[in-house]
Amino acid sequence: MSWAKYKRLSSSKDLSIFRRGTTASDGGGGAANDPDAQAYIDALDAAGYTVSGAEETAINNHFLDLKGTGPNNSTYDWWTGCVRLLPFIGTNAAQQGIEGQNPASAINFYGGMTFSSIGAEGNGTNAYFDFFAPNEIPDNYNNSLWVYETKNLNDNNQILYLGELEGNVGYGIRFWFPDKLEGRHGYANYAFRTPDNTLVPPTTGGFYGTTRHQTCEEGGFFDLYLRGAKYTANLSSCGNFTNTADQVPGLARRVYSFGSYAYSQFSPCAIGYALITTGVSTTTEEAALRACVEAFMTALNREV
Amino acid sequence: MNLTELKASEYDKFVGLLTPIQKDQLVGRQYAPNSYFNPVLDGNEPPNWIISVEEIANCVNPHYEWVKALPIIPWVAPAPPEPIDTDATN
Repeated sequence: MSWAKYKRLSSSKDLSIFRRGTTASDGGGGAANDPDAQAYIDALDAAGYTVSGAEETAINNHFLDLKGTGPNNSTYDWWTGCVRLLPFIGTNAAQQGIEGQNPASAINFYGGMTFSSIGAEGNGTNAYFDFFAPNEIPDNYNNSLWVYETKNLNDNNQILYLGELEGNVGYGIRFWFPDKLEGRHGYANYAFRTPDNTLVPPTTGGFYGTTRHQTCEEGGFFDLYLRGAKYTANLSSCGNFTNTADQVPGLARRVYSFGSYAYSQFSPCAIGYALITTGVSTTTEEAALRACVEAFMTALNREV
Repeated sequence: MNLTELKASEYDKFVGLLTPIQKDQLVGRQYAPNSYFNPVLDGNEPPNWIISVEEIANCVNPHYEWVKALPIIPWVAPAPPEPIDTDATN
């Protein structure tokens, strides 16, 4: 989309003109989409992206799945506590940045990101995106962060950073390759790592995530999931990590040093999906969420 | 070398060279909707301010069309920091 067209579209106040004719009420004659799914589709249309019929079905099914009323999930509600839903659909930043849980808002990208059918891809040089701010998370001790990596890693030196804010207050997970796997909530005191680096690091894409449970006083712990395999670590100290509005980046580290934050180390990885919501507490629930996201990725031809 | 001589498959091997003044002009500015320039220092000694070829190639902001004429140089990655090995480090 050209700059001039973006300016013109972004100044539009009435997005209803872009509404697709999919419902009986607007003349389309089809079944009505979930209203939140429709709002996301409308926002994509308004940003200049024509949603295909297959994509529309995939989006609608996934929104219903997140609410526990979809074809792949009728048990769990991941929508009510959803802080960030990023399907990364579209061909440019303005489209892929649209937030599914609030389509009136969009994240920003920095540096040389590439936007394609597999999602948002870093360049390993200077590209990252604003993922979320910790103070957006309503419950510091019951939350989950999930992503779907849409590109297999072809180099063991590649590092995937997913939500990393270090050195002061923070939240996030990261995976080190090739000699270590490490997930973390908060900063280093909350680091999860494999005992003696024994875990073979994943080199293929797929569904990764982490969940934090309970306060330290309650015996808190967090889980790390790698394509269904679960690893658990206890919290080693207490702290409030939701009191900052500083953005936590995706595909980069943001490190506090000498009185300010700086971005360092950038991932050449591709993210096709991201979700932050309330805590997923069991392997059964994780399997259900993974099935929903994998079905969504398959429908978008993003499966790895 | 300039941008037109590069293939897309070579983008990750080259970057656009900035002067410190040009760097200051780009910080906080959009090269496309929702996309911001992100000048960083490379691994040369002394380091250069650079932006990626993707930012140059995808710039549609008419105020910054001049980036398409930037000199293209090979990308030299800065040395990565040591992995964090202890809970105390951070």
